[in-house]
Amino acid sequence: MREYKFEKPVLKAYRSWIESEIRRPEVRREKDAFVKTYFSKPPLFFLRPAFLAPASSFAVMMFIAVLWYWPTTSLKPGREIQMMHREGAVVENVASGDSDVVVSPGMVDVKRVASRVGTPMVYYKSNHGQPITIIWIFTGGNTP
Amino acid sequence: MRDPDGSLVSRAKKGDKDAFGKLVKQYYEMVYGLALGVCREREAARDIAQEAFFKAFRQLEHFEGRSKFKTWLYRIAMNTAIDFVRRKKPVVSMDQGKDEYDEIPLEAGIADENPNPRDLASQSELRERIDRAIEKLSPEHRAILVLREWQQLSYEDIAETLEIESGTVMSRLFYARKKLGEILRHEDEGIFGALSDERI
Repeated sequence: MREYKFEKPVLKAYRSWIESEIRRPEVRREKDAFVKTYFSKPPLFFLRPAFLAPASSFAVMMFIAVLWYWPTTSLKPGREIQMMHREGAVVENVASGDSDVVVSPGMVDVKRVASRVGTPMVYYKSNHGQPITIIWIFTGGNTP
Repeated sequence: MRDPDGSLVSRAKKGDKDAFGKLVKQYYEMVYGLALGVCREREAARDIAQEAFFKAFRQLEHFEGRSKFKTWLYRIAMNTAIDFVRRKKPVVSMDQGKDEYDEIPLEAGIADENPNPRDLASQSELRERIDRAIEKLSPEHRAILVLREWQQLSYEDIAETLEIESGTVMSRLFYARKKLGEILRHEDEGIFGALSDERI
């Protein structure tokens, strides 16, 4: 087939037009989005939303349950006391000797308290004119 | 005939979307360029390209491998693009019904291998004028033009792709080129008119 000289620049411009169009970044982005949306490998089962949603819900429930029932972090009043009684090591050496406790009229003077289950705190309080001694054991840690 | 895409096609035929995705990645620009050559609009070319790939994926089970996958994809892309243009608006082609091979001497051109900025500007202008000229071609002629001039397919491959005779390919290609020249010449007599009718 004959080719005329005018065709050379015209067809060259035609080819460069298409080449420049297909090299646009938008075309690349559209291609990537198209492939990703319709023709990409499906994710592994444990990464699919159908699995992830119930699994994460279950994990959150388990975490809350652990927080609720874990002895050292329980927020339920009375629970820790029950646990401490069961372990039989609530308070030790309270009023275990003269050197530790001084009894004076109207009050008990506690000089030393130790515990295996937590840090003790002693304070005194007046209850309708009657002095009382209160010992708290914080079960978050042991005394040295 | 060994098809370089054979293994990917086999996997895709078994429903492997990932394998077909690799084929899409490989041929997206080609299909987009073909679509653009026929419809001349970016958004439409994107829609045509994606529709062509959907069609190819759906019809993959009917692909028997008698031609290469690429050739088969050409055919789907071209048919999709031509249908799209026909659906959109009827094209009043200047060369409808004229597939015969006749010779009209065309004036010589404006080639320059090392363009300067002024040449680049004139090339940009030329590109716009080519676009306007292509608009006046029928979608079938645009299809042959893009397959031959951009994809550099042989007449036989174009004939196989479009399922027409090689002679029809030649005559349509001749007319597409000729009409481009005529339209451009009419637009600006100054460019082509001053030049001789030298042939190469």
